[in-house]
Amino acid sequence: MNDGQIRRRCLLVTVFFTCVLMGLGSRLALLHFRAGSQRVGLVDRKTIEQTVRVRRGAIVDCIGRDGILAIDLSVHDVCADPQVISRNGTVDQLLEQVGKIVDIERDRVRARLVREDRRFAYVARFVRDPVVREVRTLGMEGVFFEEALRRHYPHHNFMCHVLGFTNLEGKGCAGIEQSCDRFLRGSSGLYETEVDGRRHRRYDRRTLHIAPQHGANVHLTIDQQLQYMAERALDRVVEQHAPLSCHVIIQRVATGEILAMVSRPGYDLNDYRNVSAGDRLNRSIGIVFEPGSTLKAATVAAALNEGVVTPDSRFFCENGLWSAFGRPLRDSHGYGELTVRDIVKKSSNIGSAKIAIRLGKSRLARYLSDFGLGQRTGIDLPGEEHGILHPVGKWPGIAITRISIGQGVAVTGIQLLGVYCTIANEGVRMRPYVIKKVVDPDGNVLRSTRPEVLSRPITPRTAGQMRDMLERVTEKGGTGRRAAVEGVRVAGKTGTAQKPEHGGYSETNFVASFVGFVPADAPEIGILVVVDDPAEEYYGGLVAAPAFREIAAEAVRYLDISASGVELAGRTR
Amino acid sequence: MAKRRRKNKKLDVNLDFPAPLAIVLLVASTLALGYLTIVTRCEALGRDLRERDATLDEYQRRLSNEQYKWSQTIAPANLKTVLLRNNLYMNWPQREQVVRLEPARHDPGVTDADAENDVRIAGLTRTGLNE
Repeated sequence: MNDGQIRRRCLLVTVFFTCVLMGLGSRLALLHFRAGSQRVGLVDRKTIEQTVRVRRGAIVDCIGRDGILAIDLSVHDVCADPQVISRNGTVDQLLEQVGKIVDIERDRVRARLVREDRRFAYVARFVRDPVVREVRTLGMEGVFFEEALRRHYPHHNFMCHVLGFTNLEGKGCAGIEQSCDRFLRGSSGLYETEVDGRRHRRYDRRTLHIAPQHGANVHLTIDQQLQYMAERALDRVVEQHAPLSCHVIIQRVATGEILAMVSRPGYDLNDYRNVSAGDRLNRSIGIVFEPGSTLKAATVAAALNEGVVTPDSRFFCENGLWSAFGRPLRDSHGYGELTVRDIVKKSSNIGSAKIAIRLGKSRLARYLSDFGLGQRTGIDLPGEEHGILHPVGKWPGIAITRISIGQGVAVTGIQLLGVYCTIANEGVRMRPYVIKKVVDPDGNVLRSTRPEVLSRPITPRTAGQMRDMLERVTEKGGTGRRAAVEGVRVAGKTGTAQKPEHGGYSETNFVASFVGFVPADAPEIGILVVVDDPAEEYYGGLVAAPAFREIAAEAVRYLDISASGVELAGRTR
Repeated sequence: MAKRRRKNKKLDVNLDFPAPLAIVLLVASTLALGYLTIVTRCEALGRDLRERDATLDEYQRRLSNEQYKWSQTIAPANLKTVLLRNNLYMNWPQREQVVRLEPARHDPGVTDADAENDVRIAGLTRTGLNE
C-alpha cells in the first residue's frame, strides 16, 4: 500500500467520523435549541402532567407541636375495575369478602361495580393500613388501591365547634378549618415530565417542576387542659340538668385570648356528616339570647361612670312589685331600700331599672354599644352573630326598664363575657381571638395575632368599683355564692332570663347563666357559663354557678394564679 | 553476533494528519463524551431523587401517624382514663402544696436582671405540707 492509499483511507475515516459526530451534534442542537412550538408535537406524545399533593397544615393548641388537634393522615381508597370484576363474575364475592373487613354500603357499591362500561369505582374510601393489608391478602383481580390524605381529628368531639371540619375535597367548612383555610390548605405542586416506553417518569426529562407548598400550622390560644376542664364541667351540667344546649368560654382578661370554648351538644369531627346543623353550631358565638340579670353589671357600670350614682346611693325597691310605664316589674324577693352595691348583690330588677332611668336611655344605649353589644366582636371564627340592640330612637318608653335588666336585648356568649372582661381589665375592652399564630413548614410566622383594644367604655376607677360589687355577689347573701371558690376571690353575676316566645316571655323556659372572673382583685381569666332551658332547676345561681366554680377552681390551680392574681409560674407559651 | 534487524517499511510512512481536523474531532468527541456523562449522571440523580421522594413520603406518613398517636396518648381525657384504670386519683395541687423555686433577688450583689437570666440563682420556698 503506498502513501497515497494510506492518505485516502485516513481521509475517508476522518470524514466518516466527522459526519457521524456532526450528525450527533446537530441532533443534540435540535433537541436542545429548537423552538418550543416545534417541539410540542414531539414531546406531548411522551409527557405527563401530575399534580403533587400537599398536606393540609395541622391545628395545634397553645402548647404547640405536642397538642395536635387536627392532622392529615395517609390513608387508602379501595378501588375496583368494574369491567374486570363483572367479566369475572366476582361482584358478590368482592362485596362479601371486603364487607367482612371494612364497613361498606353494599347496595351502593354493587350499583357501581355492575357498570361494565366503567374502569374505575370506589369500594371503600379512607381506610387505614391494616385494612389495606387484609384486602390485599384476598388477592382479588380487579381490586387495587389509591393513596389519599384524609383529615383526622385525634380527639373526636373535643373542641369540635372551634376546630370545625373539612369536606371530602379538603376544603374547610367550619370553625378554624374554615377561617384559616387559605393558610392550612397550602398549594399543590405540579410537574410535567417525559415518560419512557413503559410510562415510567424520567426524572432527567422534567420540563416543568413547581414545588408543592405544604399547608401552614395554625397555633391556637386554646389550652387543651382548660378546654378539657370546661368540657367535663359542661358534661356534668348536661347530665344533671338535661338542658337544650349550653356553652362555656374562658378568656384571658388582659389580652382577649380565648383559652377554652365549649358548646353542647357536640359532635364527632371524624363523622360530621351524620350530625344535624344545629349540633354543629358554635353556640358561644352563633346564637343570641337575652342575658337577663347578667346585663345589670353594664347598667350599673354606666351609671357609676357617668356619676349619676355611687356604690352607696340608695334606691327604694318597692317591696318586690313596681309598676313602671304601666307594666309591672317584679323582683324574685321583696326588698325595701337597697344601696347600689346591694342591688347588684341581690340582683334587684326594680333597683336596676331605677338606676337606668336616672342614667337616661341615650346614655344607657351608648354604654351598651361601647361594651360591644349589637356588634360582632371580630373574633377570628366564622359564624359570629351581631346580637340585637335596637337604636335608641326605636326604644319604646318601657324599654329602658327592661333593657337595663337584660330583656329586649340579645347577646352572644362572647359579647357577654366581653362586658365582664372589660370590667376586669380596668375598663379596656379587648378583641377576643383564638388564633395565636400561623407558622409555615419552614418555621416562618405568616400571621401572628396581637392583643387589640376595641374600646374603653368605663374608667379604671369605675371598673374597680364594679369588681368590688361583683365580688359581693359570690359572698354570703349574694345570688352567686355557689360560684365561690375556696381561697380565691371570685367576682361575677348570675342570670336567669325568661325565654321570649309568642311576643311575650315564657313562664317555664329559662336561660340560666353565670359570668365572672378570677381573682376578683387582680383578674386573670373571665369565665362564662350559659345553660339554655335546664330541665328542673333554672336559676343561674343553681345551675350555672356550680359549673363556674368547678372550672374556676381547677383553672386557678392549673394556671397557678395566686390569690393576689400574680401568675407566679406560668407555663411556657 | 550482530542482531539482525528487520526494517518495517510501514514505520517509514510519514503520515501528515491535518491538525485542524484533529482539533475538530477532539472537540466533537469531548462534547459527545461529556453529553453521555451528563445523561448518565442525570439518570442516576433521577433514580436517587425518586427513591428519596419515596423515602420522604414514607417518613412523613410515619411521622403523621406517630404524631396522631402521641397526641391521642397525651390528651387530658386519655391521661385521666389511664390514671383511673390504675386506681390513681390525681388533682391539681393546692397552692400550699407547690414547691417553688424563685429568683434569689435579695442576695447581695445579685441584681434583678441577673436573677431573671440566671436559672442557677434561686431560693427554695417550701411549705409545711411538703415537709
